[in-house]
Amino acid sequence: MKLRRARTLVSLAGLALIAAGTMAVLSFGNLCCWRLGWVRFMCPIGFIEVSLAGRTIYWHLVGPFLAVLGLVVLLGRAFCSWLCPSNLVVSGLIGLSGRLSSLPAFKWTARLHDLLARRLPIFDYRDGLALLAGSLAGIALFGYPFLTTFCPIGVITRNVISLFTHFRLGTDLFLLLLPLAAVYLFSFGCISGCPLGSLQRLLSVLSILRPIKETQHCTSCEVCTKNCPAHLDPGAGYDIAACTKCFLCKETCPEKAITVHFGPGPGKRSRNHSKTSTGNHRRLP
Amino acid sequence: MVAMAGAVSRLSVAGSYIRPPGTIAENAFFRRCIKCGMCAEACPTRALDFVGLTLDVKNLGTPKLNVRHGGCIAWRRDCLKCADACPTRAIKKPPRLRDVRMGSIRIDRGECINCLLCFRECPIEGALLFPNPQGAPFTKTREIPSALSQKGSTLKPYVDNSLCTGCGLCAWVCPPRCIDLSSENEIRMRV
Repeated sequence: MKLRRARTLVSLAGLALIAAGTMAVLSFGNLCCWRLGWVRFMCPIGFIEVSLAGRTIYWHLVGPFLAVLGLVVLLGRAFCSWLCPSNLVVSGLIGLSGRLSSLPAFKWTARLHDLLARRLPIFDYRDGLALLAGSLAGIALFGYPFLTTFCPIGVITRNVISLFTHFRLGTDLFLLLLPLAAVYLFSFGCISGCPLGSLQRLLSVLSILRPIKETQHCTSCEVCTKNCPAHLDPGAGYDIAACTKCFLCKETCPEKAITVHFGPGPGKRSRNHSKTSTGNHRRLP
Repeated sequence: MVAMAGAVSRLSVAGSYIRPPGTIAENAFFRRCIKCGMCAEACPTRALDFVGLTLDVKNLGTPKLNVRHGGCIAWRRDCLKCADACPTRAIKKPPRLRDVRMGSIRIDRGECINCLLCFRECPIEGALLFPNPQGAPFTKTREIPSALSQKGSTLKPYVDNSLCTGCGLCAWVCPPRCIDLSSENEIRMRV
């Protein structure tokens, strides 16, 4: 569980950096927009939103925007598990609810969760993309970048700023309930629903960090798939774009059969070939 | 989601807020502001906070000046850190700061205790005035005879709203909180 703690610490350090910058009035920005001198690295979703809503191109933001996209192309969804404060809150709450539901007084929460999970549809990454496309269409149509208001990362960021300037939290913290409910009920919220996550997944073509299992050591116990937030099976040529680089699979593998590969790997092109290979692998005893 | 965007932007109640100096017009502002909070982060007086969860969903999370936290010091010394921080130029450095008006103030004469702290804070000479029975109104604290500015005196400071920029510093320091800062839109609505 070392890596899990490391990830929590990194995302907490990110928030602490915002808090320290706010308290010292350094104004180097936050997760929505990071400032380095006169260069502003804005959240890609935010940039697309204001460009659509204002029907203008902010030329001074285009360069940094492309730089951020380049980073996403290289690292994939690494932001999701290493920096996203929303993920921090969500995983914290899920851990808490897991601990609570083991108590006899809270047995009903687990039962409710199971019931809802069986009744409600499970959303896919394509649903997330459809959600994003719909939102962007709405933004372009009505000229109001409404995701900036409801984005849980933005809500948390604003509340950190509010907490460290005026020592109080805003009422918009209630907005967090919406994505939290989505994550709790569909248990796929971060992976499928988040617009930023969907965009990152769409762009993660190179993905230089790839956890891949070595077939000679793998016993097909599927512990990795169970632990993976995206329920991936890190066999050869799996959908690497969905991987959030949390490396829980590597950490939890009882056979230590998973290694992280560096460098541009087989992209989405080799998926057909991969399907057969995983098929063959499954048939092995 | 299209419907949600439409609903949020159409059904939202239009409130009016005291925005930082150099904020572009309200109907263009909501298109540009990404609610990143960098202006509030950069404000040295901590005067900016965010619009909370109200019926005006459209402006949720946008910056507003709160006189309970502070006032704007842009007219007193070189600041405009908010405009500097804004990534989308929803807050721009105004070409002439003198022309910028954030709002205007109103003094509740009944509650005023003539402490004249507002005079000390006001960055613009002549915006706050004290009546002079023998001629032109006083503009400086030291000119005002203490006999005239007793607590129970009927003479109270008043505002020249053609000069007042609405920075809110007077409202921030006012001990009985009898100075009310309202935004330009509100004034227009009242008229």
